[in-house]
Amino acid sequence: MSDAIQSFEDGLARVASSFEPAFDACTDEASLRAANARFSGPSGELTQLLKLMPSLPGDRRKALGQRANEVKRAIGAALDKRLGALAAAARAADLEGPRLDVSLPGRRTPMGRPHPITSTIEELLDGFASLGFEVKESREIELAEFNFTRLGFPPDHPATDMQDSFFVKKPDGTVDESLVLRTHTTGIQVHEMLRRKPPMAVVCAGTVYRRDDDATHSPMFHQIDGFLVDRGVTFAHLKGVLTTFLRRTFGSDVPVRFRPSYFPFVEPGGELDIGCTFCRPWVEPGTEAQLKRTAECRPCKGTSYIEVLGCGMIHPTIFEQCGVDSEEFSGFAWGMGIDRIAMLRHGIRDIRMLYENDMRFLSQG
Amino acid sequence: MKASVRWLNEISGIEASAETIADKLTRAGLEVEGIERFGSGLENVVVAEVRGKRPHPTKDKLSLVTVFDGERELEVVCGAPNVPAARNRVVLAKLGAVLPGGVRIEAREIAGVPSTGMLASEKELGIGLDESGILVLEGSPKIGAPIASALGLEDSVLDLNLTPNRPDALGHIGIARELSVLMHEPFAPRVRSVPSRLLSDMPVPPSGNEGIPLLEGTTSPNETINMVSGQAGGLLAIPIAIEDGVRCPRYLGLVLQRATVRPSPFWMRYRLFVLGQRTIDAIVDVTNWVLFETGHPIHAFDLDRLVGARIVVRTARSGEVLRTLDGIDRALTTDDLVVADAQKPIALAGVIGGADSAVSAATTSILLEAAYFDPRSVRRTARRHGIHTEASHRFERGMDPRALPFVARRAATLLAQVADAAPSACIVEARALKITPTTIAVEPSYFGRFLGDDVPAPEARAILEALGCEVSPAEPSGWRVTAPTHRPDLSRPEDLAEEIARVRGYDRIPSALLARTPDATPPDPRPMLIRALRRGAMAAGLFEAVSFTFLSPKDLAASRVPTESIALANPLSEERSVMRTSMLPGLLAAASRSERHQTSRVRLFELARTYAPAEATGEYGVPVRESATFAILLAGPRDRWIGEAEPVDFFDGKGALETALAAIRLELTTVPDEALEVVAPYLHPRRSARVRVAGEDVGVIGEVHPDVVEAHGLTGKPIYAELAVDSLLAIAARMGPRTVDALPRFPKVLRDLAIVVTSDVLAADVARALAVAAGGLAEDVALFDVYEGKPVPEGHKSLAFRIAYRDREATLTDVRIESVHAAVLASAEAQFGARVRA
Repeated sequence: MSDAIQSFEDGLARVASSFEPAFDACTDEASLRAANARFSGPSGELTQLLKLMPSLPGDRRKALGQRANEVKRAIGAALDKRLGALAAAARAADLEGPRLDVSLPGRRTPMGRPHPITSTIEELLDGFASLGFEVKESREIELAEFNFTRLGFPPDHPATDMQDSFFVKKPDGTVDESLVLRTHTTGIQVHEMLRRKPPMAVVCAGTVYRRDDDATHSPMFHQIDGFLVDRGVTFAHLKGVLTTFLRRTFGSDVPVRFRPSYFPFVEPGGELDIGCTFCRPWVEPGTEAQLKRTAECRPCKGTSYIEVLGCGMIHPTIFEQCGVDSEEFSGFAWGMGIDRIAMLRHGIRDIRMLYENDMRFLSQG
Repeated sequence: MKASVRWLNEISGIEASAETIADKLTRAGLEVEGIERFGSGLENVVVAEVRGKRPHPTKDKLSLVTVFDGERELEVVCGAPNVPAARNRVVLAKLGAVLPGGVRIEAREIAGVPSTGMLASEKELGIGLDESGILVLEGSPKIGAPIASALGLEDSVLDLNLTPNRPDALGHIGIARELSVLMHEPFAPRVRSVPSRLLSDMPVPPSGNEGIPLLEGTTSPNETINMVSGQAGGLLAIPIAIEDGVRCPRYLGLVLQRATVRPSPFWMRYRLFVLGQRTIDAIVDVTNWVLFETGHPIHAFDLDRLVGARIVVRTARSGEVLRTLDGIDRALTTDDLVVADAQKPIALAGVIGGADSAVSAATTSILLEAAYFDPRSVRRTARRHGIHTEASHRFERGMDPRALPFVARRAATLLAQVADAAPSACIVEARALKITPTTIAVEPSYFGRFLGDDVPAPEARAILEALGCEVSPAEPSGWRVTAPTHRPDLSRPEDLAEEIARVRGYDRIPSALLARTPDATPPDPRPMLIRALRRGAMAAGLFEAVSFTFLSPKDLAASRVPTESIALANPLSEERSVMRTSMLPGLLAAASRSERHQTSRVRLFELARTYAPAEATGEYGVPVRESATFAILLAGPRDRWIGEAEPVDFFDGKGALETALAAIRLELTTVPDEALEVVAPYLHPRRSARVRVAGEDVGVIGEVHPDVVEAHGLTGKPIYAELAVDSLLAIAARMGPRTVDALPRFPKVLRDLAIVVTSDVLAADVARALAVAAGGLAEDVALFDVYEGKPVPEGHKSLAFRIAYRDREATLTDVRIESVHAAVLASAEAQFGARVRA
């Protein structure tokens, strides 16, 4: 009997003295858990001892059982402590470990880009929409009547020299003089005024076509046109609204120059120029650095100004052609080329780049 | 239009710098695009007198010329064939002079003889094109005087970009008039018989030419004025008949005789030179001079080469041919207005003269034409024959019919001066139509009202009168403004308002904003939806392309897209002759461009229009359908973190579409359709699908057909999709605002199901069936694995789904899940012959 007690006590003492060194010897969690299993796992030494408990004499059983449980708790505590120490050591090692090559690329979700033409159109449309203009679209293959005649210039008017047009071919191969690729977005005036009664304020942007093809002219290009018709609209309103738009778009301090010009669908007609936004001659006027910057400025060719839009009071002929009473209503209209503005904004030197869709071009910026 | 500042000064008397003039004109709407300087940089180049000449000792072609430069005599070696006799004056470039070409004059020996200067030609001096010999000066300019001042060479030439409404500014008199108005100076054109400083010692011009009487007459079509003068000395008038009075309301003819055709004097040549006009001979140069001076084209015929010595202005007869001055034989149409003699056309009226009747070195008698031709008539003829001349440019814009007598007399004066021509005693004027100036009724208060500015009536009146308008009172309180005939652009009150605003300066117009009532109708959702779709495409990693909308019919055929297209009648080239019916050719061209430039990764979208012939419908009947189209093209490797990945496939394209459509809250499905082989033959027949949104077919997607890929010189398997934007937007616009469900309160339970089905079974169909079988308990059926190959039998595939079961009202029990899951499996077995994967 004393043998059983003795052997139990020996076993307990062995476990009590060996688990700590054993745990301490473990340098990772796996070996630690294995070491723990050797003591308190299902077939561990302490577990085996506990299985012997029923064979111990009743008077000693309680005391021995308490001792065994103490050892078991101590093992558990030591395990937790050692696990904590290992985790702390691992974290410390990780914090001291090799540095990440932070220069490697990010795992990105690739993002595309808008075409320079489109982003310019959107910005300009937003500018006018914020001034209360409605955004409208119109067709590109247009009746000559809408593109020319109802805008006040018949196809044999010299002003059509400025707008050499593409005509559509009839199925029999002859020229259909009644259908053209629109040469401007100005036809939106005719469409909207025929559709409803003024007052109205509309802006329209889109693709237009003229028979020109060189480094500064593309046979297909883009325009934005707008107009406002209401009672009592004056030339001063034209100047006020368009100047506000230009300042909102190109900077509140940009100088605006207004000079007469001619477009067959307006009278009086004019052009608005803004101070060159590249050499910015108004910032430090007259200084040598400024003069040099302007003299060398490519976008304004040294003139300090950039032409941005043509405008004027809507010609009475258009009102007549569209059934609007020009005694009651007056209005103004303007148009601007988008390609050149896009080219200026993005530093594009050859207009043809805009339409080649070179991935290397489109993915820039 | 080029304008000499010196000439403007001579005509107007206004002394101002070229910059000031340019600024004034530009701000008044006559845009000056550039200023070119002439006659500068000729230091040490002086007038010298020839004192003697002797042959060069060794070289036949050289001579040794002694000249006097005002201080001393020098000897220079000269190679020109035209060294004049003693007492004549020439141009000497002294030592140290630098000629415009960069030649520096230094003392040197020429063929062994020292030369201390150089006698120069026009070309060498940069003041003309003549290089046949040295410049011999006319008259007696002061010896030793700097050449620039002695010859009046200093000038600035304005490059004017004129708008088509201002034909009056196509001559110096008109520009000078404009300038006088802008500078608030009275205008009385000073057309000197010879420019003052350039006056040579020519004989005094025959007096009285400025007053050659007009022999006036009116003619109705087919009626001839016949006024042949029988005066001694052969001064005669020739008969003129106008057959089409609308197209030629007025025609003046003047005969000049005993002309000597020789080079025109230097002053005339030099002015034409600075204006960029080649000089020919005195007669042609005078016609050009008058053109640039008055703005009005005139024409000189060799009278002796006219048959029947008469002029008929008529339309051409069918079959008539005219060899024009440029040497081209032109077949005329019956719509071409011609000037004819008794037999045949001798000029295309207002466009170009005939070669046979042109003046030549042998010409002695001239018939000078000054006429008004209808702008549209001239324009039609010029366009039809593809000719653009200084004359047609002006007639197309509208000349001043009342200026003709002045113009004819001016030409006669100059011809007398420079070609010794003797004008006939009278000018014959044929009038077929009365010239009525335009009158405009306007109230003076209108100008201020329309311009939004305070415009005092006296100021408005002063401006209009300065411009040549006559202002007279009219009932009840208005004005009757008669526009000058040189301003055909003035016909309405608005035109006058522009004149007033222009002369006062647009910068003086105040800026005003107007209060408007905002429109109560909801805005059109379309622009915002299109913008959102574009953003979606970019979020899918696509770059926006903008392609030419016209291309070659071959491009359509090579891309297997519809070839029935809108064709252009006058394309720039075959390559851009039809409107695209699909985005595919343009995007493939871009892809092939990328591949040529070693950029294999192509991610493009385009959102624009395609075009097709259609029934003419709608109020205005345009037989064209323009369809807003959204297309994408992907090619090259899939994106991977680092390193090249496998090429993109169908599902990359589908994923891009899904992302793009998500931006307008649309979800798509792709469904197989054998009809695609017919309707979308440009796609791979086995790897293509219809794209369906909300049950509607909205487009197609697939791998581009290998034949099409090959035809574009591409490799790989690009993925293309094309959707009808209007269908998408209609669906998107139908959807109300987004609604959300309450969040679930009970947990979900996940169960996996791996089954084997035959290869032709669509995964989406199985997923849908599983969800149905779960009877509302399956919250999500997600495919997480597709596998073909061993051990799955051939012709079969394994599909693994993870099903999320949830009862929104209660916690699911194991028993319930097992029973539902069993029912789900049973349904897959029943509907698709599925077996649970071992």
